[in-house]
Amino acid sequence: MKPLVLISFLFTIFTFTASAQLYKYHDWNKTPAFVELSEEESKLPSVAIKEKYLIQYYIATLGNKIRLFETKHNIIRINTDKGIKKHNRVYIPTRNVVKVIDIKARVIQKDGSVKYLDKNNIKELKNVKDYGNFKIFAIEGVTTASQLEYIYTLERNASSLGAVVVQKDYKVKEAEVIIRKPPSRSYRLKPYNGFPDMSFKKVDGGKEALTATIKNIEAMTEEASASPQANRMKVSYQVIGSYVDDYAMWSNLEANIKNTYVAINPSKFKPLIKDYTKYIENKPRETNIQIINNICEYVYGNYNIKRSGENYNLSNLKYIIKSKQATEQGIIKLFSCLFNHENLDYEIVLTSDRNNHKFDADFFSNSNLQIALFYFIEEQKYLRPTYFDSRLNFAPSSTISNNAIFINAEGRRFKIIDVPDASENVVQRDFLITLDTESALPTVQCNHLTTGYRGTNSRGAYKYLKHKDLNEFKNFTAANGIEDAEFLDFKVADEALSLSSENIPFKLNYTYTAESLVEDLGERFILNFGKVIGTQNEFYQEAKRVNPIELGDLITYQYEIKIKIPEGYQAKNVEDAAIDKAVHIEDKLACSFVSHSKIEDGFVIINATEVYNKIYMDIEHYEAYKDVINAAFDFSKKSILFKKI
Amino acid sequence: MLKKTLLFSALFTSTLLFAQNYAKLYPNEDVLTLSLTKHIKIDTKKGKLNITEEVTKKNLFLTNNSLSMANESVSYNTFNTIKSIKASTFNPEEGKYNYVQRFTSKDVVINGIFFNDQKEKSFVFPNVKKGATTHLNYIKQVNDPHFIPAFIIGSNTPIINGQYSVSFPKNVEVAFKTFHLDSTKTTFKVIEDTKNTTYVWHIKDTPKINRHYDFSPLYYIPQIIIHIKSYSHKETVTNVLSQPKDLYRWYTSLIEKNNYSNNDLKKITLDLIKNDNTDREKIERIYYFVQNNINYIAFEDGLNGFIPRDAFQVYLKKYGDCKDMANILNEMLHYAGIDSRLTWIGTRRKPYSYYDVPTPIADNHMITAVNSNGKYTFLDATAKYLTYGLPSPFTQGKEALISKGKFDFEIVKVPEVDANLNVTKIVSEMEIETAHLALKGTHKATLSGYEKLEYLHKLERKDDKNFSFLYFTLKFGTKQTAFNTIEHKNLNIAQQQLDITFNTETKDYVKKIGNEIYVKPNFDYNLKKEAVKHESKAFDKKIDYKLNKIFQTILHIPEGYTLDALPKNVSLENDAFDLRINYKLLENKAAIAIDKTLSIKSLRIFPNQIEAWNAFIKLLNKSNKQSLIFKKTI
Repeated sequence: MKPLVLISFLFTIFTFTASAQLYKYHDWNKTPAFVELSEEESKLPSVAIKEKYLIQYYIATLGNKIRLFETKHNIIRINTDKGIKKHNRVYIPTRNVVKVIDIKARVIQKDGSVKYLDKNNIKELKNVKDYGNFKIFAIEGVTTASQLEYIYTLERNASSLGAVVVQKDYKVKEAEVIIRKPPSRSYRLKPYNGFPDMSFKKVDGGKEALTATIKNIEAMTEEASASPQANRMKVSYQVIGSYVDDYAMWSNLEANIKNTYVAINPSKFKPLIKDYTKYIENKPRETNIQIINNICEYVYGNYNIKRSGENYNLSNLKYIIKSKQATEQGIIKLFSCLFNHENLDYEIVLTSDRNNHKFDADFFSNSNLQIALFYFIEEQKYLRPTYFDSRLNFAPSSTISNNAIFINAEGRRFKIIDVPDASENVVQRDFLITLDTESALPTVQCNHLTTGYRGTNSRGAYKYLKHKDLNEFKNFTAANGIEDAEFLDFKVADEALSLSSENIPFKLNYTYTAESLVEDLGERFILNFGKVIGTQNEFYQEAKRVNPIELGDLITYQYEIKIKIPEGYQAKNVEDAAIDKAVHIEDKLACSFVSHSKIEDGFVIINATEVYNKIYMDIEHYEAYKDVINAAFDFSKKSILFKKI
Repeated sequence: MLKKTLLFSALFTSTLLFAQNYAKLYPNEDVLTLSLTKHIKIDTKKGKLNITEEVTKKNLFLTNNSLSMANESVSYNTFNTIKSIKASTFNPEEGKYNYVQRFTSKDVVINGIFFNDQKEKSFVFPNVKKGATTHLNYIKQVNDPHFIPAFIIGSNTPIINGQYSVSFPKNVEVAFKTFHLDSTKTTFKVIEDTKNTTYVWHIKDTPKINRHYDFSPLYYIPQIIIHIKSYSHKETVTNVLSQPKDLYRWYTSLIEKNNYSNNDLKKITLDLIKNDNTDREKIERIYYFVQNNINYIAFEDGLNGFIPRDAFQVYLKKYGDCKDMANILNEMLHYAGIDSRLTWIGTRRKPYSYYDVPTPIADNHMITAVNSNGKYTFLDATAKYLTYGLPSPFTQGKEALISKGKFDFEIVKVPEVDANLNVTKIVSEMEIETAHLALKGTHKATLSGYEKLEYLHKLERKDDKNFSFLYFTLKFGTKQTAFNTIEHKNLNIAQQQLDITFNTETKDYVKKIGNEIYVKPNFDYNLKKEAVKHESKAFDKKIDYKLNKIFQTILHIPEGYTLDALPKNVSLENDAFDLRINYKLLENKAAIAIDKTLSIKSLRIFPNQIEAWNAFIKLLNKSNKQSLIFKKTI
């Protein structure tokens, strides 16, 4: 995960206590053992026999500088070719690494033979995209039914915060986490998702350290409507000063954000203000929404965001204004400066992507601080400044329902980020379908409105594709799943990105023909009307569910499908369109798919509503939730028969 | 001062007008490349070649919509290093150049390649906004005359004026080959002076690269490939890359120090084949041994990217790239007394012939060829699960440069594998369960050739909890289909044919309307989304391999029902693809037999065949939707 570099100078550690370097006492067994697996484990592509994490904060006897050493030791049994491909290449990120102390690897065969890594084959990659440097190597001698083992020790820049994720996408028979610190240092730990309490015990070298051993950690499963990454078993730790004070850390963060962003004085950046003032000369400025969106348009239309790790001058506001380029941190400063100039009442919000980590106000960690937003108190809306094309809007869906820290000049507060109601995030599609029985060709006309996240996403996609590939836009918005759609007409209205701020619908109106919707059976036609709502997700083939339900957003889909009954024909099977599936939790509707049909004035009219009102549902509701999802899929397969009278 | 102001004002106004004119001409573009010049300069000094490439590019930002295009990079590697680079932005409002101060060197990670020597200098043009022009100039030193950069004229911005040139002294002989220049406004001239010859191509209005190609863009975009044939010094002529034999000679010079005989590997080989009597048995044994035991990991590391690693070391490490795997296979076959040869080849991503382009640009892969009485069998050890006898699918139809000794070689075209060898056949017996409107079936699938290869690759990656594996892999059934009692037979690579038996149950598959039931008996959905749409119709469709799909189904008529309507038989025949579906009521009137075959018989659907191809897909999809109707008898 790429760190948000808003608070880089926090939490440097100073101390005067000493201890021995623990990693020097840790090594692999001189005579490696080939571990027996159970029959079930032997069927898995790979199994970690042991994964050990050794974290040591160290101060030399005659020094006062704290150093941080991290050792990782993995022993992994490979059973299949899939297992080989997963484990035979090792990438060690060395961002923030002072020194690579050692890297070694070996492979043990069942007959006891051992192949050691030739260290000359360890390669280095520099400045890889946004991820810094890497040491990489391919493990030598890996075959199916072999056991690979590697250990590496890195000296990192000392940081008082860290986390170890022990649950992987393969089974771990034993994970051991050891955190050693000088006696003068205090610590706090926070276990997540079943990680046990850590306790002091003697480790290699005869020294006391915090340890935890966890047996048989099942592989985490990727599942839809879930956050498996955030649900992995892990422990976060803080090792700092003589007294670990979460309150002080949040206070430090608050002070830092205030100094760096909130307190920016726009009068010190006259060229920016002059340029901005010229830009907004003829722009509407009656409301704060208009002012905020003017600022967005000004910034994104004049400044380039450089996202790579280089931090040089691009975080310096004066340089940014001159060069028209900025890091993500720099662009937040730019926005802060302009918001201050306009005297807007805002807070800077820091939170996590809930799919990776749930923000924890009770435990300060870097994982809490991955996403920066602006919150406008009066408008109760957010801005994600580092995303091009952002406007004042709902908070990003990856942050809603998550806790967050809100900071302004007056202080800080923790607050759950509001979840837009399902009525604010709507896809509404009204169809009129006519069938020419001579040519067996149906014509589909649709008024299509989207609001909320769907409206915002559609506007962004339309802006990007309207000149590049409008057909692609048509295909995935209007004719998703209908391979042979031929558009006769396609109109777009209210495309401006700023309209999302007041949740004005993005409107499409289109007409297409699609032969594939109809099956011609002579004097009978089967019309697959359900297909017009597009490809639907389904959970028909799901394995036993592991994660609780967690949705991306709350949403309502409303469909009206009006089908003209061809002259001389009667409609059959109309009642088959009726579906009623719902989940109620504590007497409230959590989600549902309800459809019904009728014949009226020569038309078959089908109405369907699919709604999701609850972001989180316990695993006990999974079967009922699955039925709702599958109901939408079933609806998309529904047909009606027209039979000659 | 007034003079300066007036000059600036005039410059600003003219730049603005100039930008506005382009904005009218290119209303859908955000950025234009106003000029791009690339010049390769070849020189000799004391009998040694000195080669540089100088590139100058000027972009105009027509809008503020793509400011991220101010982020730029220049790639380089072991063979082409950057000698100098400068970049700046001219902003007409300021009337001055802002120079890039910082260039960052980065390693480039290429998808699918574990380690390579490709790097880039990345930088950001400062102060870019609408109306600004960016200016880039760099000089690369070409460190090896075999790797003269090709002029591949593909860009994500239209290029208004392109100039590509090469100059060389009289003692150097240079050749070039152009591709797809006929679709551009190109002029070519030769300039001679007393010392040098210069070839210059001017290309006007090169459109930006099309995003609708199915084949690699190299099949379509303009290219000029330059190579040095030879150079002379004091009566001595040194050949570089004049014709394929020079390329071959250079390749063999790289590998001749390798491949010392290794007794350990020889012993392992001989032990492996001790029970095999025929050459065919020995070849298969060794081929499958390498496939099974050496894992493919791609390295592209300078000249090492052309030199196979020692075969025994590869055996010990259990991994290698294509040349390592070709080499260990070749060595082991030699130990077994087989006439095998190292073979260079360009995969289907490369559109070149060695005869047109006798340079390393023509190929990107290495395999092994076994010679049996002048007939070659191509073995690609990287294509895990590929049955002996078939070339890897991505080498079909391509020229193979086969080693026949230090100086001797042969160029042979790899055959295209016939559709009859790449077959999926599914024999099914289906029953309708009227109470639950379910369709139940027992099935036997038989896969051969590339169909088997594809299946086994997917099976290797399969997640244990993926219950839809057969639905997605065989493209058979619906998302509601439950696949049960799945059994594989002949999973061993050496078996020519893979058998899979399984049962299915698909609830709510059958529609009941009044006293009639409707059922779609075509249970597969192959090629469903393969129609070529919109702008893509102008380009060839790529087919990975020729194939036959055969479905033979017996559908039992449910008790108490009689057949009311049978769909019409379907037949479409074409040079490149066929479809045939026959429905037949069996004599006992208790079941329907459905025989369906679809074939693809070409690796490429040309643009003039696209309409027919789309009609084929449309007919296939329509036929797959056809229902049988059964009527209640009582």
